[in-house]
Amino acid sequence: MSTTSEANRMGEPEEPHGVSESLPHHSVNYFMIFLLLVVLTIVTVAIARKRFRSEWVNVLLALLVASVKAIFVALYFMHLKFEGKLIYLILIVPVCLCVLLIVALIPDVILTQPDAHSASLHYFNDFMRGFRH
Amino acid sequence: MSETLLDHGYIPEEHAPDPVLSHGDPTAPGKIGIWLFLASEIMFFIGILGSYIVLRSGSSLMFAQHAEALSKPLAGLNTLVLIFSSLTMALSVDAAQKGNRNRLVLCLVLTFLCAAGFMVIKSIEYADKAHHRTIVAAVRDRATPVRVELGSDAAGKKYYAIVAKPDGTIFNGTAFAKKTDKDWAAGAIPLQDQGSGVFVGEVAGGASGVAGRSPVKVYQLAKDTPSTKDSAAKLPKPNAVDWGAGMYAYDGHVHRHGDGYVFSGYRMPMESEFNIHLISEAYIKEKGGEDLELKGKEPKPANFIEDKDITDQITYGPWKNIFYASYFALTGVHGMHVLGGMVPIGILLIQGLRGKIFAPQTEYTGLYWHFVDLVWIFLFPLLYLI
Repeated sequence: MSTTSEANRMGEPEEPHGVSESLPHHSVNYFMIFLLLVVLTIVTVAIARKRFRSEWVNVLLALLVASVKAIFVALYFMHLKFEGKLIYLILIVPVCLCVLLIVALIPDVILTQPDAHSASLHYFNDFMRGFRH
Repeated sequence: MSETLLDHGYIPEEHAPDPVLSHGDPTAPGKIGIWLFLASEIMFFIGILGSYIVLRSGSSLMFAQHAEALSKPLAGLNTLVLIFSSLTMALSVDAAQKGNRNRLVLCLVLTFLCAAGFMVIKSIEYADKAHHRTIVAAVRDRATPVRVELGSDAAGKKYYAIVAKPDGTIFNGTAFAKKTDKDWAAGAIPLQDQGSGVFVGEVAGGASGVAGRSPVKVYQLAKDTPSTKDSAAKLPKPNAVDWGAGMYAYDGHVHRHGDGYVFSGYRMPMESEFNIHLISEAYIKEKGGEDLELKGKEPKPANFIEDKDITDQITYGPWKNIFYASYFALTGVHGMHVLGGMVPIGILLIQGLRGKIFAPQTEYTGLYWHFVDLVWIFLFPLLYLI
């Protein structure tokens, strides 16, 4: 043990291990997050019971509440709030790709005629007929 | 150990971390690894969700109608179970990091039980779908047995159906009469080509035995052979006749009993525009179908469907329609993730019982488990509620 190497570390006595994984330096009230998620689940069900004139309102509201729940799970249960830049750097890639995929699907969603007898269903039925018999 | 070291609270370890890692970057390699894995998992689920979005936009009515058949209370309960397991997992990670073994074991046991409970509830849902059927069957007490033959005109382009009783009399437009070539010409029912080998015609009320007109449907048309004399005997026969008069569509739950099923659900007379993939209990209810729900008492004769009366049936599997294909794909892969998560949780639990605490590993398992919960948070409204 050389005294010189120890001298370098004198400035940072709180972080002696370098890797901070087993040191919880933040306290989250997990019970409050849990209660919030339960309340938001009830909100989702309550919103879905009410049928709005446009189906889109239902879909967007359900996705909005789900996103809020997801954000709470990610920030507090998954400790994303306390993570460094690196984790966010990893996450930004799939998030961007997800957005890209959804944007690429917009023409499909808009240009399809909403109809119970869609072409995709008929192709599917013809394909599945073989499995049933 | 020198005095300087003790003064500054630094205790050198055998497993001193790489100086590069410790310098300004406190993220553990394991944590980077699990987040990279979760990043790939996001891409995995968004791929299936993307197909769900496209399929739903094409058949939104059908998706809404079939989502009605799924059990919202069970799915809601599953949501709460999974959220609770996320709480206990977060507490396990906290306990592991604080070295509290008893709390760690307790929380891991609760998490594991919640995961198992989720799968039990899921399997109850799947079993329900296995007993849920759409059946096309003759109702014996009301039906007139009908046979359908295929005919063609001189040009060989048009197709006709002949409705006949098993005793050989054929329907000539007003009543059943002895079979002659003349009768055939009078009773031939023109069939409309519906595409993919399906031909549909209307039988006049007198032939059906059921009020109003009843559809005749013929699958897989035989090769057209034009007959100059229009003789019924020479006409090509259909490969299969699906239904005639007195046919009913059933949708509900069945269980095996002798040579048939005991049925609980709704039924209605067949429609000409019938697609077994689209029919649902909600649809039959909407059309004013008959309520045949079993209510604890002895089943009525109408609740029993014999095998020989059934012409077509389909279970609520992924083959039912694109809604169920999406439902089973999404809940199936999610269920596999839950099962997969039970493995490391179980290992950590066994290690905890043996007195060993693996704090970083518990944290990584927790991250994965919260992600599985997060996916379900989206699946629950998308599949069950909207």
